[in-house]
Amino acid sequence: MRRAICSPTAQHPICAGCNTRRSSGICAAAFLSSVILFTSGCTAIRAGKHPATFATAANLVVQNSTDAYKASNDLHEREEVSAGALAVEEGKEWDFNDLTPFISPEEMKARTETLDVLKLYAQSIADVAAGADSTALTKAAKSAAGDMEGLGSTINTKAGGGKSGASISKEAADGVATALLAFGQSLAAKKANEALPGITTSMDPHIASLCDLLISDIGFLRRQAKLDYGSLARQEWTFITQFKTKMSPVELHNEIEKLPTFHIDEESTDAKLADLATAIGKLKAAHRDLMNAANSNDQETVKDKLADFESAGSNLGSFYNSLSAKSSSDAKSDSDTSGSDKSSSDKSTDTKKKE
Amino acid sequence: MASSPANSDPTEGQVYAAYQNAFDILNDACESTTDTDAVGFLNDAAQALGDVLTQENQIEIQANTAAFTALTPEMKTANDALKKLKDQQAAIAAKIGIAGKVFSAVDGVLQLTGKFM
Repeated sequence: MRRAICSPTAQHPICAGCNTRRSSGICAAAFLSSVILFTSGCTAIRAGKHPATFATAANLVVQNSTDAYKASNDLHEREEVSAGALAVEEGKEWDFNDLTPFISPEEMKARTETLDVLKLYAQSIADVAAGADSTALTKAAKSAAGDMEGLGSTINTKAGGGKSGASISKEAADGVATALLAFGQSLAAKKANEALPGITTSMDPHIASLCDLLISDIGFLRRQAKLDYGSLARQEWTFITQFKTKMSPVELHNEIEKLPTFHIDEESTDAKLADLATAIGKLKAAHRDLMNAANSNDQETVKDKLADFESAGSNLGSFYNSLSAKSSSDAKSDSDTSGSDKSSSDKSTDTKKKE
Repeated sequence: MASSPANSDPTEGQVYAAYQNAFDILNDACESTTDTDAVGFLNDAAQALGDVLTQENQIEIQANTAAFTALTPEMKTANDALKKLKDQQAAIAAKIGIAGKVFSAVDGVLQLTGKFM
């Protein structure tokens, strides 16, 4: 008669009254899993979900900062080309090979490399914190369950079936696998809890310095954007004033229509850069909170702060993507209208050709 | 006797703001006239001033670049420590996997010996 076997983790105390030969083997597995579960206890990553939150926020800041640098270079190039075209219109010399990026490739590289290191740090922190729940660990435990179930099947059907009376049910195998997983998670969490306080504490001043540097850079990008938009508006006005007599009414209308857009774009860009600076400031605070969480068992005290940051990070979105999209849209519009709605620089060139 | 704040040297920010103010005034003046000669002159003057301000911003960005470069190796050290930690966690998963191999090995022995029982 096939007897039911209790689950080792949930029902093993009942085994005390089971058939002696079989219960000795099964209860040993149940006891083993219980001991593992007991010793692993409820050890969890002390930093909680904060590393994942920090990684999400860091990714947003890295992406938006990179986009902001590129957008700043694009805007300045636009201003330089506009100034150059106007110079040509006025009979002056201008060599387009003299175009100099606002941020040189070397300077851009220094920033993107540092931002990449920040991104890797944030991701690594999140990976380590998630180590207890890692796919590899779960896969190993599931594999062990499968192997144990196979062993149970062999015992039942070949070597021990009907003779030893011992068998391992699927529930028993799953129970041991669960215990192994819990044990592995406990060890992984223990490793993380031992190392994260030191790592986050040593990294915190560097994160603070990096955030301060980024905020400083954003200040210079804001100043430069104000200059470039101001110059673009002035160059457009100069172009209109000097060449309006050579324009058709439609061409003149199109050029005049552009004037207010520079001021609108300037305000919009400045607001976005200001928001980015605020988000970077919050990233700095978020890492401080993460460090405190890693060093403390009191997760609740920092939970609200990080939730606030997460919300700010999500709102940040992809500001500079919208700028890029606008830029692309403008370019498309320029090409679609075949010169009827070109930028002042392009227009200048067109007008010169007509002359 | 300590000098009064009014006599102290202006900060870089104050100097930049003064130049920016002059740039804005020239821009406004340029955009407020339709006289082609005046527009040409004011545009050139504003352009020259704008170039000076751009250069100042570029110098500030360059100054920050050195600080960015200095930060990178220090941050990489922390990433190396995290890499070791990740490796240790991977080793734990590998050891859990060994339990499965033991079960599998015992299973193999039993299947083999079962044939002779």
